[in-house]
Amino acid sequence: MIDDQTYFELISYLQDELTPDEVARVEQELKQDGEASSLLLLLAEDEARIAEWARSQAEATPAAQSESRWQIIPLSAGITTLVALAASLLVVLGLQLQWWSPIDNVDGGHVAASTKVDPIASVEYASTDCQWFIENRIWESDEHVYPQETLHLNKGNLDLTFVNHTKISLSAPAVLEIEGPMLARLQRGSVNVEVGEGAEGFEVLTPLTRVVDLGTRFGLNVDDEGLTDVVVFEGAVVVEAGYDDLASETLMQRLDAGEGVRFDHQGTMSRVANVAKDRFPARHGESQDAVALARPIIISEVWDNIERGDSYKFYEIIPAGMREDARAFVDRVYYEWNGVDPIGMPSYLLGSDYVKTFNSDKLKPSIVISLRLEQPANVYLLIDDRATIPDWVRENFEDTGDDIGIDEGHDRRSKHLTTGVGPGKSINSVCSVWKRTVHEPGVLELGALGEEEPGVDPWCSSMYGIAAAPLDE
Amino acid sequence: MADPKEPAGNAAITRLLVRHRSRLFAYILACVRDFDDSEEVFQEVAVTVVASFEKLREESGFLPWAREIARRQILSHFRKSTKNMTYDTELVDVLAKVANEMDELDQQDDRAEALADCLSKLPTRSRKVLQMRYSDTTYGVDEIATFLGSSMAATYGVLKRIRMALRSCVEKRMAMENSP
Repeated sequence: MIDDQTYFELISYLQDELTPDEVARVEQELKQDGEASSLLLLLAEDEARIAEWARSQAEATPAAQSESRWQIIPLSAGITTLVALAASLLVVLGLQLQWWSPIDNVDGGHVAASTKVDPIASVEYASTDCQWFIENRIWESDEHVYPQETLHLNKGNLDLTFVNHTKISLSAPAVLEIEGPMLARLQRGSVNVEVGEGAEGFEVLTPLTRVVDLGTRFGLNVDDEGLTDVVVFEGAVVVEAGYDDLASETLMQRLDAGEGVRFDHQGTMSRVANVAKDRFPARHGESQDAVALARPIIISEVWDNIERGDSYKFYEIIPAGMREDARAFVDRVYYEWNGVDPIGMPSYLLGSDYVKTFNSDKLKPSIVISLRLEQPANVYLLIDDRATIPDWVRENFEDTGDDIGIDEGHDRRSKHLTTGVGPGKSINSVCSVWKRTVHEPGVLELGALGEEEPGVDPWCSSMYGIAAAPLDE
Repeated sequence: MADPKEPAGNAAITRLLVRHRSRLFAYILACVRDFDDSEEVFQEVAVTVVASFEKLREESGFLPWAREIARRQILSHFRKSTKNMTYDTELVDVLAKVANEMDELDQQDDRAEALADCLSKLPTRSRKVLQMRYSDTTYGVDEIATFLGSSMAATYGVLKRIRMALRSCVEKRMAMENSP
């Protein structure tokens, strides 16, 4: 194995940056060490390819962009010279040049002429006020994105569907560079990424992070200062932070569903404690117009007192999002809120703001969850009937007498559970709805579900759910 | 072997030269250590290859045959060179031998693919720096330092770290490719 010092000495040798004494020493080593000579040849080939790549990058600047959708990749300078020389020699020999036809194969990344580039993603409007353009695009009417193009979304929301079925939804303002079917660069803005089956490994680069999908749906937000939030809604990703800071080591972090992390310029990771749904674009296919709120949000922030160590789990706030089949917990992908019978969930819950809590927090006896309420509201707790009702609930909330169900859906441990659609179907557990009226905006603190009790299996119940509706509804 | 005076022969020459350009050029560059001089030598090699193509018995033997032409052109270049450089002619022979052995392993195409992929994944700033350093309008380290807003020494460090990142990326990619 060649060490770093020798590696860079060989590069310096190739670039003729060594002193005569160093050259003599390196050449002596090269003659004696076959591994070093092999590496020198590989590095020389790398140097040639990097130069070739750098030239192609320079030629791909706006002034050199092709004016048609047929992207012309120019012959490299070396090849052009070579062909010209060969041709001139053949002319000298009295030969015809009929054989000189466009070379249409790529060999070692060198040659391709008149190669048609297929679109890599299609564009769909996700809001009626959508305004977007492709940098350096000539054919404005074509609603496709091609490799190496940069999409600017100035207003509204947009959905991209890649040829590999990966879907990226964007919210303005956003700038997204499409490198290829498996790679995009988010320079600025918010995206929701849903990776298609078989496209696992899809990567999104931001100025501070490299996010590699492991089969998932995740959100990314890059603010004007470059701070990057990565939140995972389903599945998992691996995030590499600091990869753009060549002076430091990179940091790799796996994030699972329900986890969110903010990365800053110092390479620091901090937990994103809560994620409001409107911070990221609506899921692909959900019209942003449809989820736009007709009223101000009620719950703006959620946090707790739990030291989560290496955990980066977040609370997800869904403004006006409570409905049949709404996801119930950030850490239970299949659990859904539903009416316990076909009549449906209590009408006052429909359209309320709700919080996806952590189901696993049901076992934390000292947890205090804080809600920041922006307006007077009825706050509802949805408490599993299998759990013991804690004193703080009995003292501060009233039992409405209404119930709501949880459809626990597919459970990997049991193949008999499936998610139903709509109320009263496949309900696995029943929760009572407790209510408290809060007349002033401010912070409301909620306690733990309860202590573990002897003889009671704590795993049988779920953590409580939280919802809030305006007082005047 | 095909007659270069025939169209089919001409097409074969072009195809072979294009296909093996990288390896031939790499061998020349490893010996000559100057891009412009290497281009010049390569052009001379190309002319000789076209002129003497009928002497090649089989296409499969093209690369060692063309490399031997390159070896002679390199030595000729050394003799004509007016640069104040020392050239080790013995090393030219050693590198030709090693290069011929490497042809049999045939790993360079995988490496080229990995390198292209890794280049595409470099951060924007790193790509810009490499582009400045390697494109036709080559920028000096001092100009790149101005672009980066840092010192010359720091810029050398940045260039080194980019190459380090590329090395690591290429090696990981190659390891992944070769894993069962």
